[in-house]
Amino acid sequence: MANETYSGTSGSGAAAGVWAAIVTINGVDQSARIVGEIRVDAEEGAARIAELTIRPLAGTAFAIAAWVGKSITIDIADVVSGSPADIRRLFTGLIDTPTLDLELRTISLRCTDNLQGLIDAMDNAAVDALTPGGYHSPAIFDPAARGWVRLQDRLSTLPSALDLDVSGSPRLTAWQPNVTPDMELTDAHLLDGSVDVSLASRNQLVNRVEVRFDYRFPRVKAESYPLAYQYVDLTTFAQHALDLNYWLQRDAVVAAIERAGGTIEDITYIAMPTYAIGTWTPNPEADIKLCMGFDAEVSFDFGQTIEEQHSITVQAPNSISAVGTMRESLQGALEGVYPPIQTAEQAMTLWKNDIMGIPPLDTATPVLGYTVAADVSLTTDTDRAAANAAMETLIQIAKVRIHGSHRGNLVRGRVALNPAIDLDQTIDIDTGVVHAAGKCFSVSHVLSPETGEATTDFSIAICSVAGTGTSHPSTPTAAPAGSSPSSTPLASSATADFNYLLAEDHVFTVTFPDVEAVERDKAVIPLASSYSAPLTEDPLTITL
Amino acid sequence: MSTDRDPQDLVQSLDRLSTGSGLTSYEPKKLPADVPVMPIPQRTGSAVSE
Repeated sequence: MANETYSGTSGSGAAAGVWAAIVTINGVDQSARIVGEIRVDAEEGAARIAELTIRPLAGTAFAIAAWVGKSITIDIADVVSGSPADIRRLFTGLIDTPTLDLELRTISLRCTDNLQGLIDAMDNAAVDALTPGGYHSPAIFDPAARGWVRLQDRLSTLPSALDLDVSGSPRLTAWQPNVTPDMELTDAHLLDGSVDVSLASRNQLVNRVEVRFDYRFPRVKAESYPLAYQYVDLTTFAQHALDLNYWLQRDAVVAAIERAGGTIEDITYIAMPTYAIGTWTPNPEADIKLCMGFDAEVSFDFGQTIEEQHSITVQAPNSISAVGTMRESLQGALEGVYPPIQTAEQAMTLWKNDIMGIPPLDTATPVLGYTVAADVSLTTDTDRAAANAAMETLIQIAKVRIHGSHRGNLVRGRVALNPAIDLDQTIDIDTGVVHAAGKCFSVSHVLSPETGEATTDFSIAICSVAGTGTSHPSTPTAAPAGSSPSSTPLASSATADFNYLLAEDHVFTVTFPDVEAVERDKAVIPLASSYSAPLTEDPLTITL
Repeated sequence: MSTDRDPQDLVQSLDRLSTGSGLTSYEPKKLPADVPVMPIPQRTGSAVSE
């Protein structure tokens, strides 16, 4: 591979490297005015920082406006031939803080690649475009979060890091190292004694995240009672008439049912005879308003609050086997936005009984003999899709949290300055004692023009817990199934009674049972699910 | 050459300019108290048949 060394610092063949730093400020080459060392530090997910000191010409007036916020670039060049060649960019950014040393007449410059400022200037669409595959839910994150915070929200659902490259362009790099390393460093490249291994402590690990998500919403219900009643038939009709007992008016049937709060979905009356029976003779105009009985379907509408309590376990089983259970927890909640239950019930009843012409948002379709439930039309921010998105976001946060906690192992090294070493690189280190491969986690270039020394310190993050080659199971991030509206048979029956005797009050009464508590009271539904968090075992072999 | 600077200094300096990398807006949430509903008792209706 050609990336392992830079000729300006490592030389070529037997020739020693000769390098020069090129620093431009606000487009003007200031390389000759640099004193002391130049340092460029970068770490995964953070701004790249540069520090250097400049000594202006004697007598130069200092003005804050001439420095703060001015652009700065730092390059390194191979000058073995006497003129700059193979110029490589180390830093592009802005001067953040100039510090004056009046004794030495120098200005120390602290510079940033302006990562946070760049992201903060982006709209949501641009931030989302930087983090493809990221999850976001306004139920989990602050929906008003913009720029840098929104980016952090999305990154918490992605096993990736976002930073700026040396030219200042955003880039997203997966934590998982490339199968083929970008560079392979051995003792031939690494400075003596520079390799160091820092292993994560157990208490930094998280291998089980218990997610609790509560989702509350209403459902509308309809119970449909069969109500059949007959007080007289053809065998008792003649005596009924002879006793001057009363006939049941169809209007009284309708009025009694409506006064009970019911809606007549369907009714069939048992008509009066069309021929004379005993002392009774038909009167078509009057008889059409009477009946010997009826067979009706009567419905009632009401609502019920549903509260799903999801217990979601996200874990890395092989890590638990290796180091024991290390727990964390996440908790989210979402409430469906809908009119209050009582308001919805009034709207359904008033509309179905033709008292009000404004239709309700939702009704359940009655099925005779059953209590039927139906989902309602919630706002898009609180409906089932939103709840699923919220749970998927929490599951993904948990997976990334588990993965990230297992990347705490760092292998550090130092080489002659190599501009190719950057945060997006997969680096393989093989010293015979340590063999590791992982994504670059941090890099520090230090150039000392006065001494001629130029080095690069770097670290690679190693995800390791159960041993190289261990395969970790993974469950796709999909929301667990929620509850579904169901139908249940009615537990009790409706009754009717008509006081038809001449001496009675001639009142027709219908009675429907009370609504069972299980159909009416808030239904708490516990739902448990489990997911495996993916881990990648990066190569790490240490031979003592 | 001062390449042996305390790594914590580097972390602090990076954090200062990037204002807290990794801090998200996630906060644990619980459902608010729910509105109780009244039970629906036996329903009766009557009318006089003249």
